Amino acid sequence: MRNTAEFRLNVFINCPFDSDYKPLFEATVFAVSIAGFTPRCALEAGDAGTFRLEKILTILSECRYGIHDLSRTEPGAFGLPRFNMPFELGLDLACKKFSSGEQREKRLLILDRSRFRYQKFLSDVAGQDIRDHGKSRRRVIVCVRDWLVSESGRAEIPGGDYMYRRYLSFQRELPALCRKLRLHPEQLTFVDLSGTIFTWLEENEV
Amino acid sequence: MTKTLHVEPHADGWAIRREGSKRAASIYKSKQDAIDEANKLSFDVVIHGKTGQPFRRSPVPPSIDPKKLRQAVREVRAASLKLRVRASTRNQASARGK
Repeated sequence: MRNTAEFRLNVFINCPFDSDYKPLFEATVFAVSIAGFTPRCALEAGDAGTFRLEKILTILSECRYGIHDLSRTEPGAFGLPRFNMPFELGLDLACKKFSSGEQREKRLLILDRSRFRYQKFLSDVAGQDIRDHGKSRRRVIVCVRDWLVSESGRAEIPGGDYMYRRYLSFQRELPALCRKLRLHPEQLTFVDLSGTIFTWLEENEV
Repeated sequence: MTKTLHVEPHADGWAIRREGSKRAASIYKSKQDAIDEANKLSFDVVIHGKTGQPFRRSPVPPSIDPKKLRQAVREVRAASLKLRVRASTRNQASARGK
């Protein structure tokens, strides 16, 4: 049985997973974590026996909040854009529309790199909560923080500038941390990154 | 199913409280003692900050040994604090020199 308390604190992150996007992905995971929510994404289940779509649908159904970054919707290496992000956004919107109970409480944030760019490739999402981050980590953190505050109504979530300063401290310590753990910062998996952020926040609060 | 435990500030220190319960199950002088004990009792531990702000662990445990990870975070933190103190002492000394 799904735990409603968990559902209300889970945040699904749908974004590119390539190395160019990694700093923004890390900033998003950090912002979600420091705000007191649980970051979830398709990378968390490494079970090869599970179909990717099945895995994504399961995680989507466990998350009240969804952050969908469409900034990589552009022609890529093969002259074609990545459609995974708009597709997963569509799944989340449909889940909210056609499900019952708590799924109807779903809250979605759509991010893109510039304002109104989505109108050129996904104009159907007009009217949703769409914000631009300009590929800036600080802006991503502020967007995610402000959206979580307004959608959750939780006043105790710290301010965006404070979160960004904490993120920079974490980033400064991450290479040394990885050296101690004999890991490469570029090769940290999502669950390891998430666990490291959790432990770092916990230790730095003491 | 493991029970969610909360480590949170208490008038007498830090408390471990079972989710759904209003009363503290046990109270510790330091937050670290409460965290260590809660981690022994359950995987699902929600740790709150001094102001009551909670941090939430991902439902999928990391591949890194949690004890090693915590130890590494503490060591790096201590080293970075030492560097910061040294830099601030150096700045004060150079300010006095001027």
